[in-house]
Amino acid sequence: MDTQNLETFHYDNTSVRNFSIAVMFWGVIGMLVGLILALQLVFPSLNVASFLSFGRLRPLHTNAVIFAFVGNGTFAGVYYSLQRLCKTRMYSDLLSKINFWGWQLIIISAVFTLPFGYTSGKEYAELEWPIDIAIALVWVSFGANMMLTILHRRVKHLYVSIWFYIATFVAVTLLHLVNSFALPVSMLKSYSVYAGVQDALVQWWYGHNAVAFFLTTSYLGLMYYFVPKAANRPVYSYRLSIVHFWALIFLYIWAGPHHLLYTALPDWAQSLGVAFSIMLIAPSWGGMLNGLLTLRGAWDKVREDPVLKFMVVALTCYGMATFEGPLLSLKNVNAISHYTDWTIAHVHIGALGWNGFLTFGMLYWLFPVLYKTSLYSKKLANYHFWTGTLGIIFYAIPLYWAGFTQSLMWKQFDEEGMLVYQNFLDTVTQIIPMYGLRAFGGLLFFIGTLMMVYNLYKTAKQGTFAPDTEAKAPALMPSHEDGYWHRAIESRPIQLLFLSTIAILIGTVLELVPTFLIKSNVPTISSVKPLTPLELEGRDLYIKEGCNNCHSQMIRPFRSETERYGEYSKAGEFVYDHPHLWGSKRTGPDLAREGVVTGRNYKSNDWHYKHFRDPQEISPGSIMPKYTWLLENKLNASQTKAKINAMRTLGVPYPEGYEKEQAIKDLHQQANEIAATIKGAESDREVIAIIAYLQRLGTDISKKETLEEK
Amino acid sequence: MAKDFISNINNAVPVEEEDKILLEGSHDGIQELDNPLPPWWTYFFAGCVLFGIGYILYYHTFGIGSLQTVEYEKEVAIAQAKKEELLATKYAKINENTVVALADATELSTGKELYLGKCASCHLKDGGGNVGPNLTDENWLHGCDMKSVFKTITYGVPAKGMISWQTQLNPLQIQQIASYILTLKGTTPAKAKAPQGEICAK
Repeated sequence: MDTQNLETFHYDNTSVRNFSIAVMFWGVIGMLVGLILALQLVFPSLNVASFLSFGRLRPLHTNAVIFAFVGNGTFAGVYYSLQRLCKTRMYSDLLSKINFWGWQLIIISAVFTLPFGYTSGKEYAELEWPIDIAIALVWVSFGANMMLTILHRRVKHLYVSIWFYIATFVAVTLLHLVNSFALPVSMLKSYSVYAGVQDALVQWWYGHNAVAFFLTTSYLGLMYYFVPKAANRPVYSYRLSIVHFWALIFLYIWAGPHHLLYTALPDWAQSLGVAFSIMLIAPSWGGMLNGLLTLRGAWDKVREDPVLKFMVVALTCYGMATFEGPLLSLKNVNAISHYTDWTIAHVHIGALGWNGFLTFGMLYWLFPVLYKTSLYSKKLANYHFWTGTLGIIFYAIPLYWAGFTQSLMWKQFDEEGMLVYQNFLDTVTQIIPMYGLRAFGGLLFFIGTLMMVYNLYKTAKQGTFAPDTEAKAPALMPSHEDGYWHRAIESRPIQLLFLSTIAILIGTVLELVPTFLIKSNVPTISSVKPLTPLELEGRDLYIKEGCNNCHSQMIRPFRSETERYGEYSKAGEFVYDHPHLWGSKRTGPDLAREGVVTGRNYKSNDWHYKHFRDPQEISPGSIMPKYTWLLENKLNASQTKAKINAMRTLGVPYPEGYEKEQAIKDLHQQANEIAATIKGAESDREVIAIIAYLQRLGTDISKKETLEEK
Repeated sequence: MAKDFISNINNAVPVEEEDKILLEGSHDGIQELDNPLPPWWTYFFAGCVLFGIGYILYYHTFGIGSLQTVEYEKEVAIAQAKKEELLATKYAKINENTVVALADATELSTGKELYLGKCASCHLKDGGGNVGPNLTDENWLHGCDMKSVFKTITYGVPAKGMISWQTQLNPLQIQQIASYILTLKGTTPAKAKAPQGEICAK
């Protein structure tokens, strides 16, 4: 090394420390909310207030864990490793600050909107449009800061971690922008520009790849840095990292439709989802293998070092989840697992095991480094490891059991061809003990996290934090390429960014564009009409209360479902659904045909009214929250006009001028008609609107049975 | 032993000799080995890709596999055939052309139980009628004889909100309910819904 050309610079540790503290803070909050939700499923009386009810709280849990816990984890790890891998300080301290404070503000705004019912209704993208814009801006400031840092590096070749960081940045930007496209009605209300089948496809292209790129590629990047660092071992195979990186980002983007198997999504899209999910197993496992095999020759250290223990379990969970995911994408397995707690168990192997444990391992490694000391208590970290591991086991196994049991109960016919469990509730009460065990598992995991917070707090206290670390390196000089062909890409970050973009655009374009352009994908049903103003308001309340978190609106073409719920759902039924509300979980029964008078599940207005007031009174053993506030709150119809206008802009055929006077007249008239059928009900309450919506569900198609292909 | 096994199946260079495959340079102290791709992994990957291609060919290009609606229709057809067989054998004597009212007390009490579970929400527990018509008076919309009542329950009157019960109740159960309903005639419910339909003699 030419010592004369050495440049001195300083790594920014403050951002890393700030993000690390934020990880712990939001981790504790996110897990606590999760624990409350788990307990609410066992004790529905814990739904003590509207803003603490399951339907509103569940998005807060998922957003807090994904975007606050894992998001800050990604930033902490990237800010630490990127500077050192590039031998330069983060390009802009200002952008670093904008990234940090902007991200925390976004999370705080989630805390103050989601529980109060301000939600777009799109799973894992519930935040309303102004926050979506903020997310885009802050995320791009992160990406700009990262790319500028990379461009100012003192190292020629980009290490594999950085490839993953770049892919993460590109993909998350694309996913977020496309999926969040919405038409605002007011400051905190918007409608997705996509409807029905198209919205579902965009949503799950997004949802699936948020897992792929927000929770996976980012953390694979961290894994490639922190595992070899902690183990002090060389990475097992450079070639494997190249192959699995490109294969992973190219294949992952296609697999979204596996969330929509047996739905009204066109068959060809479903099949692509299946095929690409299976192809994904090996590229996913490439990451696990490269991580675990890096520990060859260091297994004696794994026995000793809690950091490595966490990382080994994280990699193992990653391997299990990425094997299970493709299996769940096989249609015959999905027919059993979908809509059940099996899915919840699956994602928690990923969230608790892979993301959680890798974060813990990283933080146990980072804190002593940042604070120039040793870990306060290795013993406590070991306790955390075992408590957390037991937590995962107690969380996942009961839920696998519950999911499988419930699904079989849904499907069971007796010898005479009748459903054995005709009452959905019987299949719920059966698995409540499993929900109890799951909550216990969650509690263990949560306690473990608290142990870590204490341990790291003590570690920080006993050490001294240096905001900057001085380092020296020679400036980057132009030189000739040598060795592998891939080295050429590694020394050209812009080209790498460009190629990653191409890799993720291929699957995106080939799946999304045909679904939007080819009419035959959504055969028109002429009897499907726009909702009435009251039903539209009811639908917005359905979204506000998060009903779609527990009730699906998508009957699959299985005899066990058509017998239970009625005719299976058709694509043409959802053409005015901005956004779609198909749901992904049936904690309660499907509602797609709730309003069909001749359907097996039809309930009178009066029944719905009483059921909203006290579900347990009508259906003893039910775990649905009491929605007393729907009976108390007056329906706010001040935005009805704007909503109808917005819907018309999106292509819903309300007559021109309808919103001016007639809409409100119709709203009141329908409300009066419904209220007249309910003893003691007042027509101006929210509950009337939501009942109107429920009674409309699934009815259009039965008015005229003809499918017209246009 | 286990170590050897892992090295062997992955075609890995042993840890002791890894200097030979250590790539030049390091990234913040992290070095990279140039171990070959694990052969089993490569074949597995290739196998999965072939599966994916085969899957699309099987279901779409050649159309051999049944897609979901065809799958559904097959499933329903099998169930329908089974049901018809059951109606022709076990329940051969209980259909709308042959059914007779039961008089046996245990049959009627089973009928009552089923009535309370399935019918009472619309017709009330004592048959006085609410959403559905009064079942205790002389007036009937769809016939008051055993065969008519049996038929109404079996197929429903979808246009008026009476659902078809044949997917939830077997013919014997419908016979029991219908028999019980006929015993309600002439009783005095707590709240009687106004008569609907024509006076029905028999």
